[in-house]
Amino acid sequence: MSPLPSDLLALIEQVVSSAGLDKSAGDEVRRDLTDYFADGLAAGRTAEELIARFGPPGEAARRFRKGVRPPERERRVIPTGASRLEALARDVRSALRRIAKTPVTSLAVIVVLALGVGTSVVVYSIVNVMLLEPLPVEEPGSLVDVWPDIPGGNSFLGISWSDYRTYRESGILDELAAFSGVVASWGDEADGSSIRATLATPSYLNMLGITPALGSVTFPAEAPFGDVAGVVVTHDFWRASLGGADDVIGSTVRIGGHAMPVIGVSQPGFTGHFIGFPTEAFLPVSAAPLFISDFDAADRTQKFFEMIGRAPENRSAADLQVALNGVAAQIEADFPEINRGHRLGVTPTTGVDHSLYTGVVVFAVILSTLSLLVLVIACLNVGGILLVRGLSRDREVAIRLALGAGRGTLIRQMMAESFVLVSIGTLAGALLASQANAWLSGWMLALSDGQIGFVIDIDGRVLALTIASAVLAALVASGAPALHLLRKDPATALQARSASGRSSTRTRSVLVVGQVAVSVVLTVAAGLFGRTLLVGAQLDPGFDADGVSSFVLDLDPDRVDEADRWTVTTSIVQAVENLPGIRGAAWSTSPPLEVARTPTDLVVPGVDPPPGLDRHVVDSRRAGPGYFAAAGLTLLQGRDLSTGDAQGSPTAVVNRAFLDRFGPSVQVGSTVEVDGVPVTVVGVAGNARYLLQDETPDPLMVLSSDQLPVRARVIYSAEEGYDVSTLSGAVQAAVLAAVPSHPRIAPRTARTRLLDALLPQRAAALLVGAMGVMAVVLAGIGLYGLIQFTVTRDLPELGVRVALGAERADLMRVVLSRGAWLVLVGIGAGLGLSLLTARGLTALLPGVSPFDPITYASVLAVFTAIALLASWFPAARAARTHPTEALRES
Amino acid sequence: MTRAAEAWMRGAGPVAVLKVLDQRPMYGYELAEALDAQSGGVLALGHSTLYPLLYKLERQGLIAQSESRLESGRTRKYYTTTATGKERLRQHELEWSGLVEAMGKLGLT
Repeated sequence: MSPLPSDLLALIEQVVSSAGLDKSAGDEVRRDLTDYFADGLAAGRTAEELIARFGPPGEAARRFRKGVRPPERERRVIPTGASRLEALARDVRSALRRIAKTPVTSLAVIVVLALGVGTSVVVYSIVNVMLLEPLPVEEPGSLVDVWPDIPGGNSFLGISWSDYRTYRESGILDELAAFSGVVASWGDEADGSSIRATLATPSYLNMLGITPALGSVTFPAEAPFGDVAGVVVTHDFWRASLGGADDVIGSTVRIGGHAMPVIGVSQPGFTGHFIGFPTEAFLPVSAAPLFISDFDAADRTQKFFEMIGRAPENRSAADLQVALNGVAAQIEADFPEINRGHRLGVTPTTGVDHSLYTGVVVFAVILSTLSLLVLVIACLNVGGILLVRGLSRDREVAIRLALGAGRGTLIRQMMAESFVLVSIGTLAGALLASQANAWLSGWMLALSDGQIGFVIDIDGRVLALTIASAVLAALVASGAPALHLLRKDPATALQARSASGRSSTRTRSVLVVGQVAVSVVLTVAAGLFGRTLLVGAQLDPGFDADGVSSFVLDLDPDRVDEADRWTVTTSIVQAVENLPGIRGAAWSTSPPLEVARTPTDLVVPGVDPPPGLDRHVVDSRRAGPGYFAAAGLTLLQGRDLSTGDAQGSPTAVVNRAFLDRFGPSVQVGSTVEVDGVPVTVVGVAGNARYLLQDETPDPLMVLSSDQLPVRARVIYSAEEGYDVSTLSGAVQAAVLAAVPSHPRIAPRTARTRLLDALLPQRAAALLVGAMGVMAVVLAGIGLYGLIQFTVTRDLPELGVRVALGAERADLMRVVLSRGAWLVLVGIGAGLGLSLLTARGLTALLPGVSPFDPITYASVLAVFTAIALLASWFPAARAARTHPTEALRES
Repeated sequence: MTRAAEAWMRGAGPVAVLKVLDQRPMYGYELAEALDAQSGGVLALGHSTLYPLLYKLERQGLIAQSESRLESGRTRKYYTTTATGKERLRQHELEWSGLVEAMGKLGLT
């Protein structure tokens, strides 16, 4: 720029100096006047003309002296030559300034995004851990689970040691390991802490390629049963319970009351190959006799083991299954009594039990979909908020466009602001997620009595994916308003402000309707899971689930001599029964509500077995005298198990369903053959829910027995007027009186067990419920924002209405009805969508219809309330409007 | 210019600036020229009063400025009326037209 002619410069200096301005104000004036004269010269005026038109310089100086000073201004210069990086830094700084200027809106965007992103990260972390992340073992792809495929049978039943040896020696798999989970006391038995351990063949850790963090992870091969070479603890357990000391190798620990040396610490991150059920220590399979009562390696009826193998290259699971079943057929032929119909299933190792895998996948898909919906709602919401924010800048943008700012620059600046906001929101979401993951892990652990332990780490990939989708979605959402503004011509933007407000209201309305619809779908899903829980918790098991409790009596040979087991158990049961407030007590092999079945071979004279089988298979359990009285089960005919039954020939009480199945051939006094032994039926009990999974009761036999397991359950019920849970202390004392070294007992009522068995539903209800609540909150925020926006925009109209005599109630009605319409459309769409998709949830909703009217009605009520609430405040504000105030706002 | 005329102008100046800027944003020189041209020279009120006036209006929030960089590298300041400025203008317009009408009734057209 060429300098001004000296006479003009002199004029400027004269004004500045005689005005007596300070430096910055003087500079400002100098600059403005310089620009002014430069523009004049550029327009073709001469310096003389400009001086003449300027008028007396004293006039300007006088005014400045009178206090008319140039305002201090923020320097905002649109860069042209600056480097991109500088421009970016400037954009970010200016974005931060703008964000700080609208704290409420900015906070809303951050909170909404944090909720949406946080939910997604938690859910995808879980799905990632459960299904996507490879197991932390060597070449997980070629591992296979090998499991007994028992017709109509029990997936919890395993393989006998001898059968395992036969399969292993067949050489069909490159390697085959056997293992069995045990829970044993840890350290000093009296303090009641326990450890989850895995008995495993030496090949187990070896095949999985587990390396030692300390010491060795190799058990001596072929150690004789009863020998315990030592224990390998997991890295987690070493850190948490052994203090993480380096000198742990060679030190002695007590597991199940047995002292054994620690020989190694396994590599970090490995807690067995089952996801969600971490093991804390590995014991050589030779330790089995110390943990499994009456263990006999040669007894093929003792099916305690599970198998995992390494497939040879290029052999599919199906292929291997065929080959292994050749061996299975041979085992069946050699031991027909024990292994009738014995076949194996082979599936790729997933870290999830094969019987649960499909369910887990279905649930993961549902959960992912729902969390995606939450993210979508959050993004719609952010889009809505940013749209309004963008519109309030409508004018500013128009001016800047008129001044020649590039559209690209404006878009970049708007995007920078959105980007900064979204980044903060996403970061908050990630922090929220890591906190939520910790809560969730702790909750699962507490709920499952320490058995289910998820380490839900936020996987980098999950985080990257979620952030990318959130940023993309939010930028698209904020980009739309930016483009919407930039499309228009500056002049019309300046003049036609209200029209643009109207068209954007349409956009926002669509966003809100979409949000409400998606929220309704989520809330319906959450409601259905919640209903399942309620139905499950209120379910009548056929006996007083709140009044019956049970605990495990652990009569380890170290504690009570095997020969005394019967006497000790009987005396404890007797002592418990004699306690005030106790109606009855008895021992049994299973608690009243049992998850696992015990399939038992049965021959009923006169009733043909199902086609293809030469005997019936029913569920059974063994129990001591007075079992039915203790469990509060009704006897329909005959008598309860009695003291004499154990000594004499075996007896059984069957349930009503048993009688229904076998008809007139079985009645009190009949004899059936159970596992080859004749058993007399002495009583018939009413149907009760013995098995949690059962919707309709299956036939069940409760057999008398003279054999007590090492860990029997003692079942007891409270008399009328007593709360069974308050009797625990007295029961504990009775147990300790008989066996002073007995660990602390943990009695649980049948109701507690019932709730625990609903763990998947509870977890689902919690997760989906949390998402449902979030969806409702987000939809509420969205609706509130929209109504608030329209009220602000329509304030003049409302003012006119007031001026024309409208009552407050009328105004409220006008505003409320606007919100109501949107919500109605959204709810309608959401309910329709729910009805279309709910059928997919059927499998996860035992006892509740996916079209449960109560759930749908509740959701309708909740959303109507939300709509009223969200519209109420803006409506109330509108109703308070004074006409003049409203008109001035325009 | 007489004292009375000066007083009239002092009252008219801000309204005139708001009115002219209401059409579109302008930079200082452009605004001075526009005032001159559109008022047929009547409001060529000595440009020495323009900047102090602009500063005053800006402080009152009736106009706002923004900057843009020219091809030459020089920045140029643009002024535009704010929402408050528009509202004030509307009030003044009502007052002026009322006054003009009243004057007209008195035969002073």
